[in-house]
Amino acid sequence: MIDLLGEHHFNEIFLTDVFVPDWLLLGKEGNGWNQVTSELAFERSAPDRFLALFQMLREMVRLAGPSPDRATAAALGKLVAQLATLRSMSLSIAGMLQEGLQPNTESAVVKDLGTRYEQDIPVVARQLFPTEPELEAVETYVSMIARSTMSAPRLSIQGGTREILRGIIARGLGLR
Amino acid sequence: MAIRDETRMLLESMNRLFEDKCTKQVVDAAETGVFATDLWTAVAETGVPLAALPESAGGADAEWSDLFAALRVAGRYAAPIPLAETMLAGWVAAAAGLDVSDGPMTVGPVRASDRLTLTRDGNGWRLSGTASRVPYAKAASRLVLIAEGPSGEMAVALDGIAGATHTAGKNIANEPRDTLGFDGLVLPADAAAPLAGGVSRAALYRRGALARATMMSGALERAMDMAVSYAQERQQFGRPISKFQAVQQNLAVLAGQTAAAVAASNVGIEALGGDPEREEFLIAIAKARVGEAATLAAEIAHQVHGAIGFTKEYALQLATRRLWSWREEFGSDPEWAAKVGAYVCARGADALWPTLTAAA
Repeated sequence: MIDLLGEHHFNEIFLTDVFVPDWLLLGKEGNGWNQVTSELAFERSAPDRFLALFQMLREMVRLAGPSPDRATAAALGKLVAQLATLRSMSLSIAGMLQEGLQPNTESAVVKDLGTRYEQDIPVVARQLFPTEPELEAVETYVSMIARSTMSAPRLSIQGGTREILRGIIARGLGLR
Repeated sequence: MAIRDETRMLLESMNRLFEDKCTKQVVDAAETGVFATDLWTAVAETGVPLAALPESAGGADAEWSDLFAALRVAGRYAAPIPLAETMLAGWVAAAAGLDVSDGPMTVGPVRASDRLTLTRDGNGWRLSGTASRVPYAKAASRLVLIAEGPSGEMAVALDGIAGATHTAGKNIANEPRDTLGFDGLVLPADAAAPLAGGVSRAALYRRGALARATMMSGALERAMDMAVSYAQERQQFGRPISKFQAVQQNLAVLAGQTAAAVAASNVGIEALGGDPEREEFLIAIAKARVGEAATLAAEIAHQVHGAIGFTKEYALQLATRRLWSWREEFGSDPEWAAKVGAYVCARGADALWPTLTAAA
């Protein structure tokens, strides 16, 4: 299956009476969903939840130059402050995972905030440094804004949609 | 950030104290302009306001991280006392070898654009200039100000505001923010001394910003707790409103912003006492991120509460009016975000990751 960027990440697989020997079974029979969702605590709070567009942020800093005007500095600084906070939260969750805890709510918070931050990057970029996006452009920034704009919708869908994550957080608050 | 046992014990005792002594009635009364003397006395008896000072100066050599943890509790309870200001005043005074007071103190200037100057007058000094929006200036038994002296920044200690022109003001949480003018006020020689130990106007401004960010993280926790409890109690259409997904999703956003605010203020607290430029960068991150969270979270906390949260009778406004005040004090979140941006841009794109991840 080809995605809207023209890339091949997903496949449709048909399984009909495929024999699986016991030694190829991961975990326990009937416990697959639990296995998958407990792994999500690692995935949702991991650095790729807020570092996928780091190169784009770096290009924005490059375009801003060493002494940007106040509005540009504030817009970039807001993103950097969000990133630094996400990194700190992710590190603290890594510590909880290391201790064998299950920070599912905390991980959902990091992913929800992380995807918001990443989806904001191309929005802020086109306000500060407008350009017509072109995926194959020679100029790094132009191709990055094309790629990040088109990949943005995926961020709040993969690994649990925004609505699912907020449902998990709500459960953590005792609301469900 | 791992919480030390000492910090945990301090937090528990501060929580108990504020739960007991800082009721809505106490905050309401203070907002009419009467200083909360009983609350101040109870907090002062714990030794927390001056605990960061060396033992020789009447303190306990406490960790600043513990004191900031106490400020988070004070913010949570909307404590109408100059706790942060007294901590900072003691810190400035001690850095200049000036005496501190047992009573409430305040500190200034708190605005970057204000300027005070000290000039020689015989054996003593003359103080001139303006310090605007000084918190609790009238209630403070001692004011510790930083002024430009003949050879650099100096601390000045004043016992009360006699000798200053005083213009009363307040923020939208009705906390006193008074403007003081000095027109050649004559002071004895021992009322001023040069600053040492890295204390400066800039250091005061950023510690003040971190104090407000930390207090805001406490106020956000309060607003979130109130919104979650209220949503579970309030029945509408035959069930608690917390059962509606639209309300749940809003509360999840509120919880996320609150968690981010606590994490961001801790980023700043962990930077305290390190390299000054690095400390400034990380505190800038804290004030910028907490200010952003305050704006988003206050809106949701009110939305969840409906009309009841808009009343004076209900305590949510004690938290939200402080959030709307404190996010502007010691520099707004856009002001600090611009500093974050200027810092990373000055170091260049290729240094962005090392700049972010360098140890404080």
